Amino acid sequence: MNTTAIEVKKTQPSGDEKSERLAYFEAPADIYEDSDGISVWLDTPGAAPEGVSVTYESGALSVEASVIPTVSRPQYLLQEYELGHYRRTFRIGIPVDVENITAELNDGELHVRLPKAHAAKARKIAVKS
Amino acid sequence: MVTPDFPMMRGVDAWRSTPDFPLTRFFDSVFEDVRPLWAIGAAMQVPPVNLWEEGDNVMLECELPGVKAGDVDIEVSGDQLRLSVKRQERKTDEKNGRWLRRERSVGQFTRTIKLPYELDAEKVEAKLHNGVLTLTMPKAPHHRPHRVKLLK
Repeated sequence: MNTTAIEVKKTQPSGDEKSERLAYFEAPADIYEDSDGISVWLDTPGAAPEGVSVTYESGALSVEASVIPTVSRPQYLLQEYELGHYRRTFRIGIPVDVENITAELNDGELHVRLPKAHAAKARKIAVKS
Repeated sequence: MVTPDFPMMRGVDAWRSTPDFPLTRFFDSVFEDVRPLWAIGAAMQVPPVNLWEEGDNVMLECELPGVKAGDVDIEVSGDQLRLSVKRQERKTDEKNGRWLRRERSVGQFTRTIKLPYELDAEKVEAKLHNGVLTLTMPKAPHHRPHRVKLLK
């Protein structure tokens, strides 16, 4: 019997295979507004500071935090949740002092602070008579 | 197979959303969508855990964002693991502020898990890093493979 062998090429995805297969989840957020600015807290457990990117563009705050699993595809005895990267975008409706936006990651909680632009802060207006 | 002795988890809400698909991504607007009062500071749900084996160890991971090491209590006895966690409410500098959105939960929970193996309780190690709790729980000696030497 004459059979022709066909070579099957298997290509591996580039980059870190472990973290590439993960889905993206919307990180739950708490948002607080005070007279000086807006604070956004996002739960991003498993993400390290190197994997976080925070961008502010055209009035939208975008946060992305990537997670690198410590073990690749273990044989689970029990799996109640799936590992994933985090992503969230918010439209901020007030002018922001972009230069002074700060972000801090502690214990899997990301805190982004958006100071209000000077014009957006509440000002007492003197009433002249 | 492990059976946690807890009722069915209520969907994938407070601690996890469904994976989002880039094509249908909508912006959340900070000001337009204010949660109704009853949903603010939702009661803490029991966080899900993942369990797997690594050689002679049973491994556990659990996501505990915003939790400090001092707020975690781990108790191991035989083949039972009891996990108690407290997540503190975020304190804000009250500068005439208001909450625009409250999605994260705070509170306390205790969870007991029955494992398929008895553990070597004294050798259990716990690590809390970037909001993830990882437990390394060695199996009790009688569960580990024991080499039998052939007598000549």
